[in-house]
Amino acid sequence: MNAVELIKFSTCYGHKNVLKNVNVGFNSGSITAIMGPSGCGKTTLLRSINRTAEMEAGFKCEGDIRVLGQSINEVKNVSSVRRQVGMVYQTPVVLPMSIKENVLFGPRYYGAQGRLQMDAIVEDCLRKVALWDEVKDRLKQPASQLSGGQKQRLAMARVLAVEPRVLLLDEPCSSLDPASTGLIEELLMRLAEDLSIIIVTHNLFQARRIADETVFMLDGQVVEKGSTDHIFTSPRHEKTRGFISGLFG
Amino acid sequence: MQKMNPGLELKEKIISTIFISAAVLSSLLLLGMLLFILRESWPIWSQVGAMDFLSGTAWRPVSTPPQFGIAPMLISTMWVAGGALLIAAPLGFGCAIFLAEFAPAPLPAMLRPVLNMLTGIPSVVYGFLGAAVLIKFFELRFDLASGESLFAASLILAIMILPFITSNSEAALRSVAPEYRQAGMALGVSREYMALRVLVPLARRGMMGALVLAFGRAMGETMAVLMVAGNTLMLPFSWFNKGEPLPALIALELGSSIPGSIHYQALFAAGLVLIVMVIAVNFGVNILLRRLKGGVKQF
Amino acid sequence: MRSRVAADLLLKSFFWLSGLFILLVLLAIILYLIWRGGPYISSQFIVGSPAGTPLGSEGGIFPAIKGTLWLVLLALVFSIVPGLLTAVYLSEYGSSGRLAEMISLLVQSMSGVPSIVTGLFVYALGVVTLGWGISLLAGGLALAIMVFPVIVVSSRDALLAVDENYRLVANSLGVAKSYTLRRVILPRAAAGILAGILLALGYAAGATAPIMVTAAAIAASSSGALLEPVMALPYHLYILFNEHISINQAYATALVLVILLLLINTLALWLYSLQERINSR
Repeated sequence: MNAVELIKFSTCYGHKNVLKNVNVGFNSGSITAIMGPSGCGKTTLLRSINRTAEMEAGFKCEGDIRVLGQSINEVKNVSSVRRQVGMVYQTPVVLPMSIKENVLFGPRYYGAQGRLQMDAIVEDCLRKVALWDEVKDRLKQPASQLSGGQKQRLAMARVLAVEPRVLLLDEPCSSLDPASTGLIEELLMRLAEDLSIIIVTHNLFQARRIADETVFMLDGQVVEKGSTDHIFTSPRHEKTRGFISGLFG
Repeated sequence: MQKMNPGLELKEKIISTIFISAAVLSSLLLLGMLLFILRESWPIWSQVGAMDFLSGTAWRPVSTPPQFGIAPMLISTMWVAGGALLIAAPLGFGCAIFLAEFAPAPLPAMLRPVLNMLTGIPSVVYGFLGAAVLIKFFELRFDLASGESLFAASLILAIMILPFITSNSEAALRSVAPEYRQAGMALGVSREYMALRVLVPLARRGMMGALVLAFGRAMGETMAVLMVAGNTLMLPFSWFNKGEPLPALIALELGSSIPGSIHYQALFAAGLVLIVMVIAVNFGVNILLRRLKGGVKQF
Repeated sequence: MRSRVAADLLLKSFFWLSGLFILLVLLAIILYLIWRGGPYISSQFIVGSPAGTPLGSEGGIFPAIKGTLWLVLLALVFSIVPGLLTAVYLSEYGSSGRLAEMISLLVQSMSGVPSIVTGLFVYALGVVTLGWGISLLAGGLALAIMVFPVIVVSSRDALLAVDENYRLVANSLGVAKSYTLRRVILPRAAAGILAGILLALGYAAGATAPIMVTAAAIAASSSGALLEPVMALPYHLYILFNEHISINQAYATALVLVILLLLINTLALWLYSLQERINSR
């Protein structure tokens, strides 16, 4: 079953056509990588799925995106889309509050109450991102004191706290060291059992390590999609081959 | 966890409506003020007529028939503000160039608070010092019966608008792209030459904007000119004559005018002229700065 | 070549002198005021009322201090809420819409309105039409209108300076803008907003023209009664000098006023630098 599906989806910012008639589906319970050269529309794709792309001036779109079978444009409340589709950005961003409050930021808004319940949420989410042991003694300290890798994991815990069904990641490890990258890749593979994960990455080794399927994009269009092994060893499309061999260099 | 709470959505809509309404209402205040003043002064415009009002040289509210011409005040306003600009511009620019290019490290950080504090000193204190010190000095040094003049007012205003010109011009100079400095240094020209011939022309629009804004402030200043300009209703013929700029006119005569009388209405007309002049200047600056943003990109 | 070097030297001296000139002007003003006014400041001056003949040539300026405090309080009460609401609108809800641009332009233009014209407007509206007479209420309103644009612009700038990433991340979690505002943006920008309010406060405290025509009197008890005229420091200074009541008292009053304003400005500057440090963390 497709967790996320784009149907004849196009977007433009002002006069610039960014995504052109994209038709692609992302499986549930698996990790799909999106690769492509800069400017091919990967980030716009992600942002369209959680409906943050429309916050930029001049945004227009055509076509449909379905998350878990439901069209995201027909939904009454944008907020519910964003809650179901969590996003982790390239630069690790922590809110200017304590570690605990970072995790509880979403839950508090949605009505979580009671000391016990909230403490449980914090522990649960921090354990899922393998951060619990590292920070359990300093939950009330400012999150800004964490390292880059820890901040990114905290960002993921924050997203997990609102119980999304889909997780989008935009080059989440590009500013992290290999050790942190490894940790995050491990955790993504664990999370993939319950979530559908879509990850934009420049790192083809990363894609081979963790992604079940890979989508190759060029110039606002999806060129090819298939199992990761297949894409890298015997891509069907000329352009895909060109891109992959360019990466090997 | 819980399902989506529909109440949250409604609450947010209410909150954003409050913000929008507050913003709209507040900004309508300006229009409200303009309309109100226009209404209070309407009889002047319809009876005396704009041309006569603006160009008439006699202001005699209590004679019969009363005469309302604000040409002397208009001229005084322009002269005082223009003169202030003449004195303050070179100094302000010089100081800005100093701060942006020549001042060694600790000085700019020290001088910026100084500029800030100068703007914090109330205009009445400037007027007071101008009257108590500067005027007395003129009287003693040049053996005058009365040292008040448009020139004295220009001097005081110049000091008042100086920090303003300096900060804005310095900001404009600092925002010039570093490539130009590097290019200049690569050519081997002196810092002074580069500052004057390269950076200033590039920051030209921002600096002009600063001047124009300062001019607007000088036109609208009341207390400083009230205390040193001399306050006579006669047409000034030289910078060293006395005069009465529009703000001073309004401040001095409003209290003693009878509400609803033609004198009262004339003061409102004078206020309208003043506010229109200043707003026109501000609008001009906004448009100019908008083109500035586009202009820099072309470089 | 020699003329080039000479010209350069001339320019350089000019730039240096202009820079030092500003420093000198401030020092001269403050030192002169201290020299002429210092001797006449005493505890009696601060807490006493005007006395002597003519009134004010002896005694103190306490009613004027009180009056200024009342006027500033009223001005802030009337202007902070609309000012902050407008600032929040411009930074969070309006973004780049046409409405926001227009509102921004209008508010910016308001800051150019001469303070005497604001006084004129409130005179006609409050003093005359609404029958308040020369009163604290009219003066407070006039000052509120005068400082409103200052509060809007400084608060908006403080809000805009908060890292955009916070809003991005919060939005992705699906929370409402007002929630993010309350929990992240406002606390983060608080120092800068407060600094702007302080500056507005100082601006209101030193303004003479608007209160001259709406609120100020030569002698009043300044008890806080809304419909009574009040004394105020800047106006008191003006009267002491203009009516030739006492040059010494005038210097002392000017010194008090300047010290008050310098304190407010220094506090505001400190808050701004605090905000900068917060923003860079």
